[in-house]
Amino acid sequence: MKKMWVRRILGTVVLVVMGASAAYSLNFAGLRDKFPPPAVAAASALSSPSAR
Amino acid sequence: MAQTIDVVAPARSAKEPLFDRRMIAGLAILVGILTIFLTYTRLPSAISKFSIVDIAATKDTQSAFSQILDPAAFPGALEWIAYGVNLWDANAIGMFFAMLLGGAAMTAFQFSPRTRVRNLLGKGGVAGAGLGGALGVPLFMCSACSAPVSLGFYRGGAALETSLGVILGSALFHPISLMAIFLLMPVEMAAARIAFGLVMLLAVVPAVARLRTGSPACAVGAPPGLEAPPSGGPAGERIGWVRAGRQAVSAWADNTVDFALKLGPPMLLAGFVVGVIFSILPPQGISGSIGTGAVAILIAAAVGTLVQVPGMFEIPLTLGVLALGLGEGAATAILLTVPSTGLITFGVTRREYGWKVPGSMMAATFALGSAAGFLVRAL
Repeated sequence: MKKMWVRRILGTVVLVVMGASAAYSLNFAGLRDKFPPPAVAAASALSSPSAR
Repeated sequence: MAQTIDVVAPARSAKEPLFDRRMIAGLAILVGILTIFLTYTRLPSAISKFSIVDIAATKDTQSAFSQILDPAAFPGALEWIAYGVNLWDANAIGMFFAMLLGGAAMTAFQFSPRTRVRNLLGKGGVAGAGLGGALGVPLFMCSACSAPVSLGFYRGGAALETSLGVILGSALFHPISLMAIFLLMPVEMAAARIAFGLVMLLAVVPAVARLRTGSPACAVGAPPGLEAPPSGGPAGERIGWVRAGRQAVSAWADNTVDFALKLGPPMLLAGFVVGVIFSILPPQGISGSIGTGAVAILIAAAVGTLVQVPGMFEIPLTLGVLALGLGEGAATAILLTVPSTGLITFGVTRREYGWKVPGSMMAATFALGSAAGFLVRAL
């Protein structure tokens, strides 16, 4: 019984992490805009006027 | 989380009910999630990719799809981290919905009347494979993301041929991918893709399914809270719709959480292994050293068999191979092998299907992909 609940909790944690990744990829609630990926942030910094 | 499910010994008689209300509720969950997935994410994404899919992916250009981390910003020995994270990000939406859909598929079919609906999905051979292929087409998923859905069918009682067919139907008969391939590539390459898909689905899958011995996984890996497969016997019919809905939702939650625990970590690990392969042997970066002959075709087929990419990405990858001068033979091998299977699909399905089945699928992918490459090169 205890092992079953441990599996359920761990599985729920994994599912929540996957859901959060999906939400970020979908730009749900503007998450991706608020926290841009490092690759995009670096490209933006290079193209900004202050970088020239 | 799970409620007590009434379990009745299956009655294999002419009076077996046509349906179980819990099965109907499970099917409603499956259709609902699929509708949300297609309308909110997958179709808009596929249509937006269609406008940029003709940008060849070469070593010196950005990928046609978004990136979280830039591999060029990492030391050579650590580039695999960036590739692995990017692959996880590219597949995140598909994999999350794959868990939900796999759990829903298993829920719908585990409540199905044992002899009626299961007879339909339990057909083996070419018919079963073809049915699975048809069921896989509307998923619009790559072979990595459709693997959990395939497992959901299998654990719910579908034949192995049907379950494997779901993966290939989704990966190789993606309607928008096929449209792009016919528009952007030589007709012999497009025809090779169709022929490869049909041979894999209707010949290889039935042959490979015979390698699986023992009882179906649904009898071995029942999710927690369900001690035995429930039946659509008289008890299932007498349950009211509200109670049937609650039991279906509870079973779906249990199945989905179970899938996530069993499949999520292997998916993540396999993605980083694919990242290692990409960093050592990027398909678009091996030009100049292997020519356009047999070696190029075999190496392209081998790399394509092992790696796994998001849906439709095989198209800019193939265009990149063509742009780098590797020839139509190697490009054809990439176009066929990359979407078909890979290490992620192997890692995810190995536990349920045994290693022989996914291993044989990979071997067949390599062999047929190479053969098609040689044939197209000779034309």
